Amino acid sequence: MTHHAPDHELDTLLRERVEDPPVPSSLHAGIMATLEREHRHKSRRRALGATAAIGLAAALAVGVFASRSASTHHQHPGRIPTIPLASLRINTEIPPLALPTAYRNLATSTAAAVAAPLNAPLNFSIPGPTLRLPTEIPWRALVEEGNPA
Amino acid sequence: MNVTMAFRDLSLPAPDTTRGADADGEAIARTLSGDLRAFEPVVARHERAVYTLLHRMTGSAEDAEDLAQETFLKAYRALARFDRKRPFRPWILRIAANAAHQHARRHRRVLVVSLDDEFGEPIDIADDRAAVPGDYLARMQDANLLARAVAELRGESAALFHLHYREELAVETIAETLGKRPNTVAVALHRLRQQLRHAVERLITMEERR
Repeated sequence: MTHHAPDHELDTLLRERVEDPPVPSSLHAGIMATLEREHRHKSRRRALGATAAIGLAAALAVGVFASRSASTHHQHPGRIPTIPLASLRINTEIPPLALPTAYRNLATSTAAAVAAPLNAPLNFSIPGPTLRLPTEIPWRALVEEGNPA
Repeated sequence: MNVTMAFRDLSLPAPDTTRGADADGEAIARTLSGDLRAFEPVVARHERAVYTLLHRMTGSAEDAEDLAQETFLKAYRALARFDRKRPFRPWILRIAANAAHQHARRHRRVLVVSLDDEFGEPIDIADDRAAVPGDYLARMQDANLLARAVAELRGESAALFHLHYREELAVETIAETLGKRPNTVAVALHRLRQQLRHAVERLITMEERR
């Protein structure tokens, strides 16, 4: 090699004479579409986790109340236990639109599965970011069935 | 969730990377709270730099566009680990450089070479202080041979060119971005200039033979 540009000359040329490749016009839209898909998936994952938590919480709550009801029935035969379940509220922090239909259905069927053995009119609704399980369960049927004495 | 996408005029000059640092931090905080739209200006500020780096490293416009999407996706997933007190640009460029390497490994391509391999031979510093014929510099500019020589760069050599000459990052920041020691980067920069001089000379010779 016989000829050399000094560093500063070469650096100037590299900064000023070398152009960047053109950026495709679809780049921004492509990136945002990818991020939007990921955002939706993330919302679904959160919704699924919340649904599982709701189902577990509902099952636990009903189980606890059923156990207490049975105990009440044993101690006071003929008395219908009146343990309210209406105050159960679960805040999922999920906006309604972010809860996909599949998981909405899953949540509903989970609640229905909990209510069915109790023969209870368990209403399950998703009115907004707060989920409620308002119900009046006819504990007599449950208690009499579970404790024939 | 419906996200409205605004389309930026891509013919505009590359945005200033440092001015957006504070805005990046605020936007990232909002993004982490669940607002994807807040991330869009961050994408707009850095997508050109990411794409250009990837284009130089891979030599392919298609690969660069795919990898740019992959880069921002990885960044979005890892956003909670980003230190918002630091600038976003080197962080996203590091993700991009890693994505280019992974892509090369997946497709069994050799991304011409890491800094350690390419610039591993002894160097002669005095060699660069030699006399400079004016016609040599003129030919570099007129024939745009230097641009062609740069276009031949791949892998970390291309990344080094982009980070030093286009992003104008400090050697320490380049080292952090590429996961190298600062001394390695300083030596690599010297060798990069040598490599480009050789390439230009080769191109001149080729043109003279025509």
